[in-house]
Amino acid sequence: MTVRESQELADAINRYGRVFQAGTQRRNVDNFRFAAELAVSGRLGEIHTVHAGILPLEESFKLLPEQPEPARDVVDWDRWLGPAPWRPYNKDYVNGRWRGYYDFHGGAALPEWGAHTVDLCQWAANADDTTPVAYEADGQTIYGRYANGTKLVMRLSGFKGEGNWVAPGTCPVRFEGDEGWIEAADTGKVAVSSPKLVEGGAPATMPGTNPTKHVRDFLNCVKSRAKPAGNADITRRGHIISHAASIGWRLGRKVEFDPVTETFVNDADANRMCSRARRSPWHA
Amino acid sequence: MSFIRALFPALVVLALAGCATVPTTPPSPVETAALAVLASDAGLREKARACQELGDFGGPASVPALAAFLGKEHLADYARSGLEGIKDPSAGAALRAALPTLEGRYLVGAVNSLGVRRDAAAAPALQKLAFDPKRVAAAAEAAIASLGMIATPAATKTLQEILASGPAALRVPAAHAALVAAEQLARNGNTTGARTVLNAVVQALPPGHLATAANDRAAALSGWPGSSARK
Repeated sequence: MTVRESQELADAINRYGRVFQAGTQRRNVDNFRFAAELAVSGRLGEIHTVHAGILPLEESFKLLPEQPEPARDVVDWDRWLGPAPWRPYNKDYVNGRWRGYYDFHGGAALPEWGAHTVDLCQWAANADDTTPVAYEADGQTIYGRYANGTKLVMRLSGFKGEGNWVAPGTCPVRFEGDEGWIEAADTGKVAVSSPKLVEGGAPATMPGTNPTKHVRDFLNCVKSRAKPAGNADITRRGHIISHAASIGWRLGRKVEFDPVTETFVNDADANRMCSRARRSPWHA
Repeated sequence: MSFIRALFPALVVLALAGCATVPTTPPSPVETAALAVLASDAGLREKARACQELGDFGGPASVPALAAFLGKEHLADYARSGLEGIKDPSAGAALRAALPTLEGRYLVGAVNSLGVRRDAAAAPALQKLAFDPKRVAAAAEAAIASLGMIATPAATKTLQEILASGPAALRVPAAHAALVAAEQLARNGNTTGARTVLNAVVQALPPGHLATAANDRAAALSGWPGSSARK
C-alpha cells in the first residue's frame, strides 16, 4: 500500500457506511490492551515517548530469475500480483519470499509491523485522531514527533529478539511516562518499571497473534454498527505514519507532515512518494 | 505500421513539448541517468526502475521517454508510475495524446492515470470513451471512475447523464464515481454541486447500499440526520 491507498481504503469504508476491522489484532490482545490502557489512564504519568518495534528497513528493486509460470489453477500469477507492477514469475515470491521488495513490501517494510506497533503507540499516546508532525531517520531508527512534543521512536526488533527490548517476543512496544514505563510483546507478557503497576493483576497471557477477541469485536460491531478497535480511521493513520516515516528514511532527511491535510509540508519530493500507479486494470 | 503506431504517443508528446512546454529547470543527475537507461538496450528491471525513479524525481524532460512505453508490454504500468508522479501538465497531455493509440489494459491504465492526476482537460476524451459502444466495458467503466476523480462540472455532468439516461450497465459504475465526485466537490466547498450529483444517484438507482450512501451524504451536507437504512 501507499499513503494514497491508505486514504482511499478509509474513504471507501466511510463512503459506504461499512463496518471494517483491520487485521491489527493486537488492539484486542490482553497484554497490549493492558499496556495501552495503563498509558492512557495516567498511571505512567505524562507520556513523553512511545516506542514501536519494526523490522529492518530495506527496499530491494531486484527481480528474481524468471521461471516458467505454473498452470493458472495452481498459481494465477496475474491475480497474485494484483495491482503491483508486473515482474517475471519465480516460485520464491509465492512461497513467502516476497518481503523486502519495493513493489510488494511498500514503505521499506516498516508498515508490516508498524501497522501493529505504531498503531498501538498511537493509542498509548492518546493520538488516534492525529499523526506525528515530523520524522527523522538515524540508521535503522526513525524518530517521529507529535505536535504536543511526544516522541514516537520506531526502532529495530525482529523475529530473533533483535533490539534492546525488555518484554520478550515479536512486535514489541514500550510506553514511557514521567512516572514509569511498560513494555508488551507477542509472548503475551508485559515488563514494567515498578511492580506497583501490575498490583491489580497482570493481564492474562495471550499470544499477540491470537485473533479471537479481535474477530469477536468485529462481529459485535457488525450487529451494533459501532466502530471496531481496528476501524478504518485508526488503520488509515497507522499506515500513513508508517509510510511517511519510511519516506523520510528514503530521502535521508527530516520531513514535516501535516496531520490534517495528510501531506508533507513544503516538500514536493516527499509528496510525490505518497502514490504510485497501480497495474492496469486495477483501480480504487 | 505497428512500429509507427507504437511510436505515435512519443511523437505526439514531442510535438506538444516543442510547442507548449519548455522545461524551466535542467534535469537532475538522477533524472539524466534514468533517461539514459530508458534510451539504452537495458533489460526490464533496469528500465522499470528508471520509470519509477522518474516518477519520484523526473520533470517535463522525462515525459516523452515515459510516454513511449505506454503501449509497451510489461513496462506500460511502470511508465504510468513515472507520468503520474510528474506534476507538469505535459505529463497529462502525454496521457491524453496516447488514448487514441492504446487498446485493452493499456488504454484502461492511461485512463486510470488521468483520473489519479485529476486531469480536467481529459474530461471530453473520457466522456467520449464512456459513451463509445465499440470500446470494451472495462474502458468505459475506467473512464467513468476517472471522471468521478476529476469532478469538474463537465465531468459530473457526464455522470449525471449516464445516471439519468445512460446504458443500464454503466449506472452502477457511474453511481460509485458520483459518490467520489461528491466528496471532491464538497472538499472544494461546492456543496450544491455535491448534493446535485448525489441526488442523481438516489433518483437513478433502486434502494440499496449505493442509494443509501448517496442519500446519507446528501443529508449530511444539508445538516439533516442520515438514513437508518445503513444501521
